Amino acid sequence: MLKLTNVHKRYEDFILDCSMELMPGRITGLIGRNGAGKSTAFKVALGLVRPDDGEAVVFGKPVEMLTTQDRQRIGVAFADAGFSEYLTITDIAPVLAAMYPSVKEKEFLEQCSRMELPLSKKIKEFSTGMRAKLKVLIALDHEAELLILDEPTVGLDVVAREEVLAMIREYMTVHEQAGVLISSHIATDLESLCDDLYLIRDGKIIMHEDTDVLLSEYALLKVPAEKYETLDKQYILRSKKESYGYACLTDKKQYYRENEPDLVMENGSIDELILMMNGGRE
Amino acid sequence: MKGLLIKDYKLLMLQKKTFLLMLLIAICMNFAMQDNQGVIIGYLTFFAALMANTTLSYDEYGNGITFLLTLPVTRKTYVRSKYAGNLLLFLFFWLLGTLLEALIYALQGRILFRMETMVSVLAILPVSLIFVDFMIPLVLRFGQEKGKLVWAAVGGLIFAVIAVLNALSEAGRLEALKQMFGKMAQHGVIMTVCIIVLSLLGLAVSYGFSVKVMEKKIF
Repeated sequence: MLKLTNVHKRYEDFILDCSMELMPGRITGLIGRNGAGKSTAFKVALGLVRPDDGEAVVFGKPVEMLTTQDRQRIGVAFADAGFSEYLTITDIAPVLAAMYPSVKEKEFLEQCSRMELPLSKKIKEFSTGMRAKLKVLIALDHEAELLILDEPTVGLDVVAREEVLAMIREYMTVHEQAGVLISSHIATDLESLCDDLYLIRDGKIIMHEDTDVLLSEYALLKVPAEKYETLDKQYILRSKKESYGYACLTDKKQYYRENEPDLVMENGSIDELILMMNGGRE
Repeated sequence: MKGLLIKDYKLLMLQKKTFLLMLLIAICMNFAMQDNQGVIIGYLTFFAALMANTTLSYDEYGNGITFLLTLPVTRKTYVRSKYAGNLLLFLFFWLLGTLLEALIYALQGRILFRMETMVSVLAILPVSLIFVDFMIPLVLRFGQEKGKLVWAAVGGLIFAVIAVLNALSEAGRLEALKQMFGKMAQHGVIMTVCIIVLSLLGLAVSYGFSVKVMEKKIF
């Protein structure tokens, strides 16, 4: 559905160098800190940024070859881009209806009303939550097969975040073969939503794993300093100096449970994983 | 492209008060300058072409173009919509200005649609087109703010070229050129065809440049 192969883009102070893939029927998450390269990777996937090297393929075609009809199959929400904020939902509805054959102006307005979005108010007067809901709704409203959602929950409170995530879950329930590529720097948002996760740091993908595997196989070992030297480190991905000794991240929880039964072990959460992968040493 | 044109129309409608004010000023100017039929129509047409470009500012603001290009819109379609929107708007206001002028002429017992007056009325179209030819690629290339500065520089350059040509003409260095234009002017059809061809050529060059600018743009 979407594939980035050895995509390389050099900026003055940043290099994107990544490969990733999204399969139909899956929600794939891209997690990373602000400035890690999430938005740039998405822009490459949409043909907004041309890579120096490598290839972005969407629906089996190089992204620059996508036709208007192909683009009608894609729904996009960017955190920092959208329709002019001087427009109202009533202004936008006919624009969308003219661009997507499946969008009916009246139905779109009804949908917005159901989501409690004001139809005649300028977008710039919307709350952050309303704006986020509108952006996701615009991405979802035309039965897209591929959804690219860049930080759709950024800046939202817990309730608004849950509402936006519920919209995406509901969409996937109805459109089982759709694929969603979603980014966030809030890992817990993606933990419950995504089938697999990519972790990006400094423009590079440093990990790709199924969410189930992450939650069941990864763990944090709390190793006393005197034990650390003799610890079997073949399945330790990262370790970090702590006051009690070392925190070690492993992707073979069972191995250490059997071989080091005395060690304190915490089940890995995605947040901890990010912290370790970003801060720990190999 | 229809969607983009609707969006631009909605954005222009945000400035409907400015358009009404512009129309009011045009009517007042018309009564104050009764013998300068072209000025009023020219004023309305130029103002419309200028206003059409404000949609580019709205698009620039808040990464609007980035978002628009995630919709079923290619870079070429975006450029095409800007030219179509600009041409439609200034043609509409040219027509409106002409009708308004004709109405006022009629109220004064005069006729606008005569050969000598219509030449100056029609001449506004290719001149306004030159404005569009420069403005769109400049704004796309440099952005609204820098684009205005570059446009001012281009305007200055055009003025300088005219001044140089004028000086050369007064010094009698352009006699051959003047003779050629003189001959062409005697043949109204040839002159009109030349103007139309040159206008279309200018538009094509401008459009080609704008597409190139957009194709190279990184968002």
